[in-house]
Amino acid sequence: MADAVVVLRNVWKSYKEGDSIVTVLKNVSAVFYRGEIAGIHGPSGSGKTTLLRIIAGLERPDRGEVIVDGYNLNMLDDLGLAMIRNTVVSYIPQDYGLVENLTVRENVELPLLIAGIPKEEREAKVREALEYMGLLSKANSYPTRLSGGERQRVAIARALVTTPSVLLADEPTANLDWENAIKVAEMFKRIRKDFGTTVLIVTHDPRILEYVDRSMNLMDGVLKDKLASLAGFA
Amino acid sequence: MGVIAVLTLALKQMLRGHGLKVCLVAALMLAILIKVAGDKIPDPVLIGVVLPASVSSLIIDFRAYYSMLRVLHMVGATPRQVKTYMLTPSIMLSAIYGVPYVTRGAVWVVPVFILSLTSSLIVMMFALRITKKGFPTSVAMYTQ
Repeated sequence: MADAVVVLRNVWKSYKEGDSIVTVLKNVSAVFYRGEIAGIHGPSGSGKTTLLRIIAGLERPDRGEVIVDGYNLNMLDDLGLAMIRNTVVSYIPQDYGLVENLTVRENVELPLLIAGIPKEEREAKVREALEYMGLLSKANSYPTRLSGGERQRVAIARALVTTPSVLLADEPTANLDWENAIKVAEMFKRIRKDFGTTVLIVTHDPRILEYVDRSMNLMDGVLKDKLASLAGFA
Repeated sequence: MGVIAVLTLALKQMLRGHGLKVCLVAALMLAILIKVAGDKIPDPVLIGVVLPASVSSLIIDFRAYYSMLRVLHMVGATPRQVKTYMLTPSIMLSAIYGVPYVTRGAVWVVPVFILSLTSSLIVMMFALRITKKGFPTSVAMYTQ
């Protein structure tokens, strides 16, 4: 039996928009397993990003339960959620979330820096992550000098440097051409193979779903399993 | 742990940005203004000059501060680390703005520092608010 890493039980989330209340997630339940690459597909505004942000501990659900790698996020205070974001889950936003006046090395170092890791250990880990992503030669460049594909790889390197259990990627291929999009999809497969990381990809591009083990459809806040097949799931 | 690292990070960002340079130039101009015409300018106006100056020097680097706050929140900075990051540029800039007023006496420095710090913190709290909740609808209309 596969090991469940992310469990969502009856999750609801609403936002206030002007005078009305918009419900973006309606009774969402799902289980994601260790080492699985899952794709969540759906049109813009269907609640995909909100779902990822809730799993990342960046937002709290109105109702329902979220369990990530054994931690019930509902039971954690802000400090606890910060610890989860630093050690258990890594979130890559659609715009990569890089700090433009920090170099590639400094950007990747950030999660280790705030975790209080000693300098020598930090440098070794950053070097390892940059080498893994093929970015060692760009270590002292600023993100503005990089191509879209390179920026995406920096964001992945920063997400990987803490070796999280779960990697959440919000529209990872949205700003890339198809050639780079395939490279990123292949990269996620390599990460799963090398680290056993669970990767959840949110996308509106159906072509990316060819690279995932399981795809789900999120429509108007309702999540449905699209393909039950786990073909290729090692 | 990590608070010193965040403090260093904030200082590094200030040195790489433009706000600190603007702050130093503005403080120098303020010092000249106080020296040359300080007695002719009413006290509330002289104290009030610091408010737009401190807000502008933070707004110039607003994008950098906002993007750092957003990333710190995302990669798991603790609430204390986030507060340290917010306070560092605000305190540094406010302290610099306080220097020209020293010539007018210690009584002047306190309100100037408080005014500058409060206005700086309002800017930073706005950055933190949009980090956590997104732009307010009225602002989003102009930024999207």
